Amino acid sequence: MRNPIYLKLSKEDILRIQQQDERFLLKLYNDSFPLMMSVAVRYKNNREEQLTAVHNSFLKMLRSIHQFHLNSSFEAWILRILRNELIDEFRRTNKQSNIKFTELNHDIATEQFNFELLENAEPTQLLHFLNELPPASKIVFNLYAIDEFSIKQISEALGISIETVKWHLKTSRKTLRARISTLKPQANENE
Amino acid sequence: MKTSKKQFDDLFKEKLKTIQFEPSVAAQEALLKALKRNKINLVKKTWGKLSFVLILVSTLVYFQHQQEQHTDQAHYFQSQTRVDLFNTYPSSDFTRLFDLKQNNTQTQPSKPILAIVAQLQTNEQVTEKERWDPLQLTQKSIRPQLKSRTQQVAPPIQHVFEFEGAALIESKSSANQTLLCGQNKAQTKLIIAQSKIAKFSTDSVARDQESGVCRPVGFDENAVIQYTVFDKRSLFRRFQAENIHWGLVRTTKIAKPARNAEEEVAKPKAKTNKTATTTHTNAINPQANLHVHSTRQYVEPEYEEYSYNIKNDSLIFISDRVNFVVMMDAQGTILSKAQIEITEPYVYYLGEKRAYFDQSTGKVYICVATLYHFNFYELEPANGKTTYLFHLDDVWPNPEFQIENGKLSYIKNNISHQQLL
Repeated sequence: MRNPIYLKLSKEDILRIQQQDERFLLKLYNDSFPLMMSVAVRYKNNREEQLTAVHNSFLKMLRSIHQFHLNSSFEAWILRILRNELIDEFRRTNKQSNIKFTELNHDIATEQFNFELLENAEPTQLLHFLNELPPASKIVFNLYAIDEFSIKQISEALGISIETVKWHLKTSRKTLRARISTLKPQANENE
Repeated sequence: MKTSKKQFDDLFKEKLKTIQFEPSVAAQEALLKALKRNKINLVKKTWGKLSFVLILVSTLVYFQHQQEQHTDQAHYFQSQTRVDLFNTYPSSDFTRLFDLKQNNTQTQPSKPILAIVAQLQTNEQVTEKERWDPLQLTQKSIRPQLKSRTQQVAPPIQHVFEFEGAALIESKSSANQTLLCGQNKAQTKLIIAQSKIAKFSTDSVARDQESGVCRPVGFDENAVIQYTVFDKRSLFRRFQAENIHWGLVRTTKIAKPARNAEEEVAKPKAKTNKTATTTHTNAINPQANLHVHSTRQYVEPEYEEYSYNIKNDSLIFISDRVNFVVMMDAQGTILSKAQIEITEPYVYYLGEKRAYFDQSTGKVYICVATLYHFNFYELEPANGKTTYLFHLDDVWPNPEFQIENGKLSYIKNNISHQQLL
């Protein structure tokens, strides 16, 4: 398994970025791109939309770079900007009327789920399953399960009730489990 | 101990965090463009180097300028060097140089370099003939040839275009078959389709919408079909309404519609009370309180079908009774509309009129039945004016005229006739 992405920037680098030195900006972009893109792909299905989200948040970051405190985490700061950008866009484009409460008839119960399938699944496959979720369920699951927002924070950020957030979480988990269960279990090497 | 939900979420998170991405060159370029668009000032560190280069260049220019100033005054070292140059010059030209020195007062012996320049100039002097003859030759050879522009021609669509999966009914096409006009299966819509050169991807089927673009399966990849859909009845009503003389409408009176009993019931009671308590009531003469509308009457024009044909890039619509002609472009803009005038020669009785479109020549002809003849006219669609051509000697019921390639052909008493128009 590959290592998770971490952004390594010295204070001098950040100072250079604050001076908006073009070379350091490109360096920062190249360094932060994997991190930002790994978040953007979870929220957006389209490659162009993902790039637009990354670029928009990068521009936002450049505009407010002077507000950044050198003692805080630059990585967390960038990701917060990106997440806020994605949430804002969701609120702009997906109004309340777009959130549809469709009943999902999946037979896979929670107890029956085989965690080995999830462990053996390819990350790209999981990303594909995540992108298949409805937009509202996808953003709720992303914020809760991966970006570790609380349910209250999500309801405030998206402007929906706590019950709706819970419903989306439940539905998205159910759907994802059902989709993962369709994967074929890997054959045992000893057999 | 982790619950199954938490375990699921954590596993999912771990899995997704392993996906890695690399920034592409295109993404970097897109970012730089976005930076420029957003007018974020970037500090380029090349300025330091550039300023150094600028200083270097300016010093060199300064030294060169200084050197030029000193060359005006011939000094020792300069003359020494120039003498060497002078000696190397061909000796055969000395006599000419000597004459030149005597004639030219400006050239001084103390400036040998100027003498050499003058000599070179005199050697380079050519006659008028020498100057122009080779020039003419070179000009002739160099003159760029005009290349014919290979213009892309939009492909024909007459047998390709389908509206909602069905071919158009009563379709008419232009001579090059790039413009098509027809009706849908139910004959309620009028569709105008035109082929255009374009490479963007689009639908393969023409749908029932106001306008759209499609590229049918197997159609040229460099072309699309742009289509406009009109509601036939409303389009023809529009033609008809635009032909109403407004003076006539102004003078006609429109009757006030009689109010139904149901409407009276639906009217709120409070409103009626309010009108009763107004200060403008005339208690003496109650008749004066009534607001009397002048009776007006609106006569809706009778609906009339139009036959259509295509000439170049415009469509010609002629009413069924051949009274009106309308020219419209493919997008629905009316180019002209006119009433068809038949004035010459004076005919006491004009019977049935029929319009004929000659596809090959693009001309419109009108045949009018009179008491004794069939009169033939050529119509100018732009203004509705007609030019009298000729008349047939007889008149008979249900004639079957056909006009093609400027020739009128018909059958009378089982004998086919042809006549040039």
